[in-house]
Amino acid sequence: MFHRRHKSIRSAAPSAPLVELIKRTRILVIDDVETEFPFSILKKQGYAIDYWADVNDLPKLESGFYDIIILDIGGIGQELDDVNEGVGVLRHIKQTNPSQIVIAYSGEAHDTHRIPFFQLADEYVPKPTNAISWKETLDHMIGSKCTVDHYWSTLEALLRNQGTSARNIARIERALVKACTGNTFDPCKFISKNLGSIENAATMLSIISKIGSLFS
Amino acid sequence: MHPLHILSPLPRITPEGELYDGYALRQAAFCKSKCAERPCKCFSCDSSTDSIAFHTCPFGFSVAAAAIGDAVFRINGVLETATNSSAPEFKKQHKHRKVKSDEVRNWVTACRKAIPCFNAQVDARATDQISAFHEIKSLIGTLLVTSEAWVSEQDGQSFDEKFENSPEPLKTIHHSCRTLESLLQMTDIIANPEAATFGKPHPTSIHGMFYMIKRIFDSKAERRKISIELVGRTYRRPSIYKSFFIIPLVLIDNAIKHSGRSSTIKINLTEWRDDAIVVRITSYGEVVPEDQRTIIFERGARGRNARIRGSGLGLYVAQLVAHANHTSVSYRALRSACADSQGEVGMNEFSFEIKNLSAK
Repeated sequence: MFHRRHKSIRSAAPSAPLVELIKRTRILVIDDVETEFPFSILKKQGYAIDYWADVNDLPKLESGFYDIIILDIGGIGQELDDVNEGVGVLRHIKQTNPSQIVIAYSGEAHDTHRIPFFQLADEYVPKPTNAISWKETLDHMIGSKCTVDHYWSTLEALLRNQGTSARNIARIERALVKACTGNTFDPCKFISKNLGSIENAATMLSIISKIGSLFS
Repeated sequence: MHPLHILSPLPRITPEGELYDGYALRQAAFCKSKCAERPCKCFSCDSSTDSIAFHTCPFGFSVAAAAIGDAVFRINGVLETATNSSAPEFKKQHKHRKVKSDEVRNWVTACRKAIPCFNAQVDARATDQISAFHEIKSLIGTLLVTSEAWVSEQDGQSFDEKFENSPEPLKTIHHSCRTLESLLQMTDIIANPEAATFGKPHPTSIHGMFYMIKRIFDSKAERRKISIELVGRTYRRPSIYKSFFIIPLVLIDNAIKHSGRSSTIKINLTEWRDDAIVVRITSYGEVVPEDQRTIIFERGARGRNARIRGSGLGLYVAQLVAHANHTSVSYRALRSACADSQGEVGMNEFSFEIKNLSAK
């Protein structure tokens, strides 16, 4: 008896050149001091970077609109967590959307109380850091983290935590491959059809939308 | 002076050969006046374990060596009753110097508990002090970004080309900013050693990293008529922590400081088995005296021949970063040629292996 092997979402993912990925990746810098980040050089090289001096729009952060968030600790996020500032923002982002890629960008690595901030983030960049190092870090993050592999792994873990069986996860993966490689992909329809009523619907929607966007 | 030198009941010797009395037992008169060599300062112990190594010096005294915190402490001039095999006559003569191994063990255990408390206090102070530099860090960041933006407006395709075409004052400003950037990262690691492992290991172009560091130091070396040569080439990109660059940065900076004028510093990159790379940094100058080679990586260690101002933190941080990257820096003196008025001169070699952390 032969079983038909289904294509995994990872192997079905299209590969695009880094230059193309750089253009597509939405990056947000949240830092109370604007002058310490090499915006002009990186923008000239094609990176799509927005800047917020503080957490201006929390729902936008939670929704996964940005692919990479570069987050400072001090002087930001006091409205959300006036004690922990950026650490509180990072915790909140990771709780609401674990697939969100966050780079801890801080000059406070000397402070042993801030260790959880650096451990919770996906990457750490000390302040100050030159533009060449920033480019290397961003290229690495875009190539290794803004990927179907990363988003699917997070989704898989979420489903498992909710008690979804391995068999059902495999079924969802097959459906996702089919939907993403089809002509049109509507993440909301996909969720209602394949996941039914689920916890963390907003998070799932954000992750599935990201996966879909990497196929387009 | 280290706080443990004040708190010890027993006499001790530092790696530099300085003798300290204990508050309960003073140094033996023999150790103070008749033992010129003081071989006990070099007795070793396994610093990776909590064990205490008991030795007997050539003159019959016991020496207990134990790693406490970052340093090795050596209790000297005593007679440890269980392991000391000195002649009965000698034992009789020095019977008031007898100590039980348990007494030493208890003291070492207490110190091992106390050291983290001392360090926590020191770290808290350091954190407070470094926090005061926040504004300075911020201004350096702004200067760095501004100098880069200025360089990027020069003629050329790549940043390297634009840099080469930049006016000399701009090059100097940019180099100074890059050096300050590195020094600030070092201070973070001194205050919080865990900072060496922040972030994730990245595939890194080793040749590119050394090329960049060489360029940072070229002008400094030129001022002393020293040339830096990058020998060997590697295309491997092992995954390492961001902090890794501090190792070559410290070693090359030290090599420039301690090299003779008009000499050459060689950075040799060799691809090694699996996916490791071996780096050897050699320079010609005064070599580290043999009895101090084991202590140069200790926090605050300053060789007795050190004539150049320094904090004794560079090699300590380099070793700390090396350990964070699952490797270690080692030193050896090669072709020790002659002794001048200042000390023995020869080839200094610092080497380390770069391992691919993602392969672990």
